[in-house]
Formats: sequence, structure tokens, C-alpha cells
Amino acid sequence: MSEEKRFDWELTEQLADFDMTALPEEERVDPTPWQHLAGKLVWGVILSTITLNFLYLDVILPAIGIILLVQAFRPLRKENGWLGLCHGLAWMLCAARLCTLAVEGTLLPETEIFASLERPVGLVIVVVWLALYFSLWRGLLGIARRAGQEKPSAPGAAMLLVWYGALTALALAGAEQVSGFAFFLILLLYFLVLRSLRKTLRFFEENGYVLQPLQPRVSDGRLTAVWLAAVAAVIALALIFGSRYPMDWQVRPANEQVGCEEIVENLRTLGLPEDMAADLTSEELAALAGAQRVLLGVGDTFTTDDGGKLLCRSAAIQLPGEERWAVLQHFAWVEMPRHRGTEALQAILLHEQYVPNGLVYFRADETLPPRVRLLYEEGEDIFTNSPELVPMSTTSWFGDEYTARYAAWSLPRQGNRARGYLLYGVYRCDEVSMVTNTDYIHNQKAVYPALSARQYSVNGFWGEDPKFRTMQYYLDIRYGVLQG
Amino acid sequence: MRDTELLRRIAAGDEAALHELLRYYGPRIRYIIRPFLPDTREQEECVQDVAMTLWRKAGEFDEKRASFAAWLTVICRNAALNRARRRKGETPLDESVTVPSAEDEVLRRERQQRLYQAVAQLYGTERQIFFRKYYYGQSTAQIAAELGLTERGVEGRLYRLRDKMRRLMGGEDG
Repeated sequence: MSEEKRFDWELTEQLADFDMTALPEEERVDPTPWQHLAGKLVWGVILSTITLNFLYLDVILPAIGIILLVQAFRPLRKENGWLGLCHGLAWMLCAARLCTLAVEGTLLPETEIFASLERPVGLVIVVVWLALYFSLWRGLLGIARRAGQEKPSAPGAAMLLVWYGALTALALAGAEQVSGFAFFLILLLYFLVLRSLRKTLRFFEENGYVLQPLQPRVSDGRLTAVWLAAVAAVIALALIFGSRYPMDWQVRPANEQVGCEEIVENLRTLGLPEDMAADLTSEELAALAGAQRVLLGVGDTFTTDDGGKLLCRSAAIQLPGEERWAVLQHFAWVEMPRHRGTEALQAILLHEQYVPNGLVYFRADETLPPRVRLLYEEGEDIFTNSPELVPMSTTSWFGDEYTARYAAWSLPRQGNRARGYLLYGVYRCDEVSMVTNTDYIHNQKAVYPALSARQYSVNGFWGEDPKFRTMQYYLDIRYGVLQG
Repeated sequence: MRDTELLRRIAAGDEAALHELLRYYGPRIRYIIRPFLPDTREQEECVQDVAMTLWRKAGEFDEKRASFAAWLTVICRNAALNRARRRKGETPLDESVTVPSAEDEVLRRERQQRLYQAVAQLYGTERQIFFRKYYYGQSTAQIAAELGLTERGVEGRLYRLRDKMRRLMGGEDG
């Protein structure tokens, strides 16, 4: 007898009169497969259902939950057709989960088409879950019948189906957020459902229904490891390739400002910093021809957690004509930030500010419509892009309605001296100061689910999220200065 | 509750109650004895042994100590192990005719104590594999299928488990 076999024989001998019932119940090992499967099934249901919004548990726990369900159904799939269906549906939900995780790592959910698809896709997934729980109930009924139950029943699975169906109905009726008593009631019912499910499975455990688990080709542990690796890879790929805007950068023509030297010189003489004037297009410079005054706002330099340094400056340029002004709000990365996710500019244009009592302080100058232009340098070339400046009605904390304009973009992965500006024209209709603020929002850390700087600003989070940096700068030309 | 009632009736000599209990727990009884007794005729004989034990010991069941399923598991496993031993010509449990010397008995108890202490340090899948292999006599293939592992995986874990048990038990039993 080999040493190994002798040791096995000795262990068996010494355990011969071991009394399993002397152990506390939780330490006993049951010889049937049910204890193991029931654990996977119940924990699979729990983890797939709960949502804990911290430490990425809302991502990790459901991912583990769904693979536990696959592992619970895998050995049962040949037991009867319904349990085979459960196995297929669990894999389907795995695939759906992987797709969802991938999409959530991109900016696609912020697009209109995806926003319109969210509800129907969500409904399909809910239907698959309902089908899974229905199949589980039918599958366990089949086992109960074969186990010799006089009146086959699987109350735990039936309760789970009803509970999930009721929650779905509540969600469809618009009661997505529950609080207080209703929340605790749902939690209590959930606990009762799980207890009943465990009890149903215990019947099979005690009865010892002869289950023939299929020999797995891949162990549960390896399956879990591969699945979690796939989840991590999908999220990483989505964040790397999907959490940025596709940008169509164009090389700036070398002769863009040719013929505008006089205008540039005039602006420089009036006090506009040379680098601000140097970024403008020939059309914009033409619109600024004959400028009479340049009033500069107070510039500010902001630092970001990812090593960036942003210089923000504003200028009001008085143009020929009665109280005709161009507003130029310029920003430039003096030191480029390390994280290149998304950027956003939120501006409240002078003529779109809330003014009470129907008064009009500023009017839009149609000859100089608002626009944002971006630039950066790589090697000898300068690249430009003009993102759309989208208006969005919003309400202030005081209930006043006003329009904010948003531009959103991604900085290039390579290159330096990224910068840009907002330019628009207004007529000053009243003797008022020119005061408005502009927010530059920089995404300084990877964020999952992906959230663009623009969406972060639109959501209007209370307090600063460390993944974003909002840098607020002002055009602040007071009445007295304007009169001077 | 139903089990306790049936056992009370069995203890009172009600054969129908025994049949009822065997009908309900029949699959479990066969499930436990199968790894020890591959031959189906022997399995059926062992079921009769279990029935006899239940008939004799029904009054001894203490529901405060363990559930009926756990108590029955021990009865089935012991009955199957006894049959298997008889078949191999070994001494069945509780039927040893030679009385061990006091010294042997002390040594045996010490070894057993060390084993129980080592077992108390096993958790999770390791614990499951240990009891299934050495207590319930299950094959590697059965353990693998029921615990969602591959056979190679079980063999690997058993290899490490043996090392661990040798270490925990002081090495002298290896």
C-alpha cells in the first residue's frame, strides 16, 4: 500500500466513529449536492438583485451573482427541460450583463439614441429574469414530482417569481424609488422569499433526491476567474476606447490670419493679449475689425489633481456701432493634464441670462454668433476643432429659468498647448455691468460608469466629485469701467 | 415535526410509520450508502439494516441535538460502512471483539483528538472535500461533479489536504 493510500486509510479509520451530529449545525457537511447548489442559487439571486452604490459594489456583486446562478444551474441542466432553460437564460443574462457593463463604460448612454433604447432593453432583461424564475419554479416542480412528493410544490421558487413580478409591476407603474416603510416592507418580503426558497431546496437536501450533477469541464472557480477577468477587461476596454469623444481635428492652415495683421495689431494695441488674438480665425478677426476698446477681466490659473494648469482669461471688445461688444473667454492648458477623458465648457451668455420683470439688458449680435473653437499643437502643426455649443434650459436654485450653453470635447492623447475660446457678440441695451461666469469642467480621473464632464455639470452635483474639477471664471466688467 | 411524530409512532411499534419514513427518506438513504456499497443488492440489504436500526433506536432520537436528516445520515453511513467492512473482512463499528489495551486506547484517543482538532481548522470547499472523501466515502468523480470542480482539481486539492492534515496532526501519522 502506498504511503498516500495508507494515510487515506488511516484518516478513514480514525473518522469511522466520528459523530457528525456532535458538530454545530452550520459546521456539518451534508453528503448531497443540494447544500452546495442551494448556496450558489440563493446567493446568486441575492447578489443579482441588490444594488449597493459604493466601492463599485453595484458592478461587482451583480457580476458575481449572475455567474453563481450559472454555476447553480450548470449541473442541473440535464435534470429536466426547465432547468436546462434556466441554464441557458442564466448565460443569456451573463451576456446581457457583459454588454451592459461595456456600454456603461462608454459615453453612448448619453446619446439620444441610447437614451431612447434604455427602457425597451431594460424591459427585455426584466422579461428574461422573469422567464428564469418561472423556469426555476417549473424545474423544481419537476424535481419534486420525481422525488415522490404527493402534491408537488416549490413554494420558494413560486414566491420568488411573484416577488420579482410585483417589483417589476411597481417599477413599470413609476414607483422606482421607494422609501421609509415601503422599503422595509419590500426588504422583509424579500427576506421571507429567500427563506422560503432555501426551505424548498432543503426539502430536496433532506429527501436526498438522486441528482446526477454533470461533470464540469471547467471548474466553478476557474469559470468565476475567467468571468471576472472578462468583466474587468470589458470595463477597461470600454473606458479606454469609449469614454472619450471622437474628435475630428483638422490642421490649421498656416495662412489662416494672412491679411488680418492690421486687425490683430489693433487688438494688441488695445490690450488684448497676443496669444488670445493669435488663436482667432480670419472671419472672427474680420468681425472684430475697427475695435475701439478692449476691457480685460481678471484672469485666473487653476490646477487640477492630474497635474494640469489651466489659464482662464476673459475680454470684452467694444466694436464700432452703439454699444456693440464681442465677448472672448479664453482658456489654455499651460501644463497639460495627465488624464485625457472629457472636457466641458458651460457658459451663460450675457444675452441669455435671467433678467427679471421682462427687462432686456443685452441682445444677441447676429453677425457674431456664439462659437467655441479648440486648438492644440503637435510637432510643427496646430490642430483645431469647433465643438457644437448646445443650449440647454435650466433652473437656478432660486427657481429662475435661464439658458446655459454647453460644449463638450476630449483633449488629444498626444500633443500640447491645448487651448480654446468662446466668442460671441452682444448689444448692450441698458446701462448695466457685463458680468457672467463660465465653468470649465475637467474630468481628472477615470470614472465608471462613464460620466462626461458635460453630464456631470448638467447633473449639478452638490459638492465636488474628486473625479472632476470645475473651474469657474468670470467676465466681470463693472458699470463704472464701462462708462470710463 | 412530521419526522418526530413518525419516530414517536415507530418507537410505539407502528410499522406503517416506518414505511412512511422510509418512503420519504428512501432516496437520501440510498444516496448515502451508494459510495460504500456499489452492488445494488448489497445496497438494498443495507437499507434493511437502516430500517432495523430506525426501528430499534427511534426512541433515542433527540431533536435538540440534531435534525432528523443529520441523525439519519449518521445511521446510514455507519450501516453502509459496517457492511463494507464485513465484506472486506474487517471489524465493523461497535462490534470489536478484542478489547484494546489501556495504552492502545489512550494512543487511539490522542490520535483521534488530534484529527478532530485538525478537522476543526478546515473551512469551505476544503472541509467539504475532506468529509466527502474520508467520512462519506465518495469518489473523486462524485466530489468533483457535486462541488463544481474538475477531477484533477479535486485530486490536487486532496494532495494539498493530506499535506495539511499531516502538518496539523503533528506529522507522525503520515
